[in-house]
This record gives sequence, C-alpha cells and structure tokens, in this order.
Amino acid sequence: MMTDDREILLAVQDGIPLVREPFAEASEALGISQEALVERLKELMEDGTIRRFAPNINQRKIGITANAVIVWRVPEEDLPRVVEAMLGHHEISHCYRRATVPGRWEYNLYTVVHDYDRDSVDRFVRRLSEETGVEDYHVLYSRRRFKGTSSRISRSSR
Amino acid sequence: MDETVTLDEADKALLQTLQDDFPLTTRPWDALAGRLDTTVEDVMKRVGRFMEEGVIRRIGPVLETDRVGLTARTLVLMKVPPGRMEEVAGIVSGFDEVTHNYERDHEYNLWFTLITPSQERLKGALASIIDATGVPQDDVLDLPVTRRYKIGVRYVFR
Repeated sequence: MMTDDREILLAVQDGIPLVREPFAEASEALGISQEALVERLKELMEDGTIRRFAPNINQRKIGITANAVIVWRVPEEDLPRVVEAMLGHHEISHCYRRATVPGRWEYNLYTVVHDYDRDSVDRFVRRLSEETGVEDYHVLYSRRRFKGTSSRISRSSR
Repeated sequence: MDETVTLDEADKALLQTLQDDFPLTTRPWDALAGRLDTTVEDVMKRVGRFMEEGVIRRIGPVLETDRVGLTARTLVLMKVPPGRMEEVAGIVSGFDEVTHNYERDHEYNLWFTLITPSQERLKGALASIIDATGVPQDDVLDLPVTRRYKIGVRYVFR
C-alpha cells in the first residue's frame, strides 16, 4: 500500500458525509479531484485492500437480535469436510479456525450466526451439528455489546 | 436503546442496495436514486433517517486488515468476577487495539478481539490490558486465529 493510499483511507474510513457529493471534502483535503479519489478507492477494492464499501449496520435496530458465536471441537482430519459444509450456509457470516489451549479450551472452529431470534439460531445450529456430525459444540449468545468497531488504521500503525 | 426501527419496503430496498452494491461514484445518492427509481432527495432523506435512528452507523470502507498493516489478531476470553463486569469491560474497551468486546453467557464471560500491526505489539497490548483489569492470567485465554475461512456480514432486510 502506498503512502497516498494510507492518506486516502484515513480520510474516508470514518464514513462519508450525507451531502450530494460526499467525496468533495476528502478530495479537497487530499489535494486531488473527486474523480481521482473515487477511482483510487475502486482500485483499492479491486486489489482487495478494501473488502467492500458499505454501511455499518446496527443489526439490533433491524430486529436481528440473536447474535451467537458457536465454538466447535472438530477432529483435525474432519476439518476440511466440516468447514466446506458450514460455508454452504449463508446464515454463517464468519468462520475461523483458532488456536486451542490444551486441557483448558479445546474448541478449534468458530462460526458466527446472526438471526432474528434465538429459536432460529438454535434450530439452525442443531441442523448443522446433524449435518456435520460434530457433537461437541457450544452456542454463546452475546448478552451485552460493549464495543464493536470496524478495523481502523491510524497514523502510527505502520 | 436498541429499539427495533420500522422499515417500509422502500427502506428495505435501499438498505439492501447500500449494503450489497454501493455505487462508488462522485454522486452516489443520485446513482442510487436512478437504480431504485426514485429521487435523490428521497434517497438522502431516508439515509439521513437511518443515521439518526442508528440503523446505519457510518458508510465507508471495510478494510482488509492484512493489507493495511494490521496483521496480528487474537480473541481473548476472560473470566470476570460477578459485579466487576461493567468496570472491566470499560477498561478493555478503552484500549484502541480492541475492536469488539462482548459479554457472553459463559464461565468465560467477556470476549474481546484485538488487532495490531505486529505480534510484539499484540503481546504488549494484551499484557497491558490484563494488568489494567487485575484479572489473573489463569482466568484469561488467548486464542489467535490460525485460519480464516469466511468473513463478512451480509443481512437480508425483511
């Protein structure tokens, strides 16, 4: 990523304003034209630096109140098959593998599911368990959200 | 605080397009109006309402953290004593390196994620957090991602 790109991301990462030409102010501050700014943002999307340009939605406001992390203990040799099955479900927004702490925390696969209510999540997770054959899992609902921000760069984070 | 907001059909169509296919142009609201067969005034009024009501927190880039220099990440699980949750969660959220911080229904009742530019800074940040909260090391699990299979929330507005 070029230095100019850092400046571009710093200028727009906290969100664009609701004005007819929302890139006008940022482009002026950067000393480039609006067209050049938008063009560079598109290139940064194409090369994968920006995953997407989109609203950050407060899911609770639209009724999606059940947010669960499901941790699964999957034998190493079953992981490829299990992950493939899980990724086939659009309800799963995130799927990660994480380190374990032997003897204290043996879950190695994590999925995140968002839905309108807990019953839907519970039903979905039971179905996943049956489909994948993974029986050692735990559903963790969020009780309170203390912080939830997108990843941001800072002038010092080089 | 997280009252569900009532959305009409035009709101849902607009949110869906904003999320799935935001038009990166110098006049995005005009482009959205053209696509949704309405006026730019109508689009801007609705987006303004989404922001006021808290449905949308901001509209901007979702960064691919690996590509912007934020390469070290982990999930931390902490056993917080009853009665100290708000205090400890507040301390944790106060660290810039913390992106998500949730109370969850589990013996390990506080789950937070950290992201930094290097492993060294990650270890340093986690040590500072543990120190600041006074939670014993034995009540903390450090679970770095070893593989990401899927990331990205997309909602179906209904």
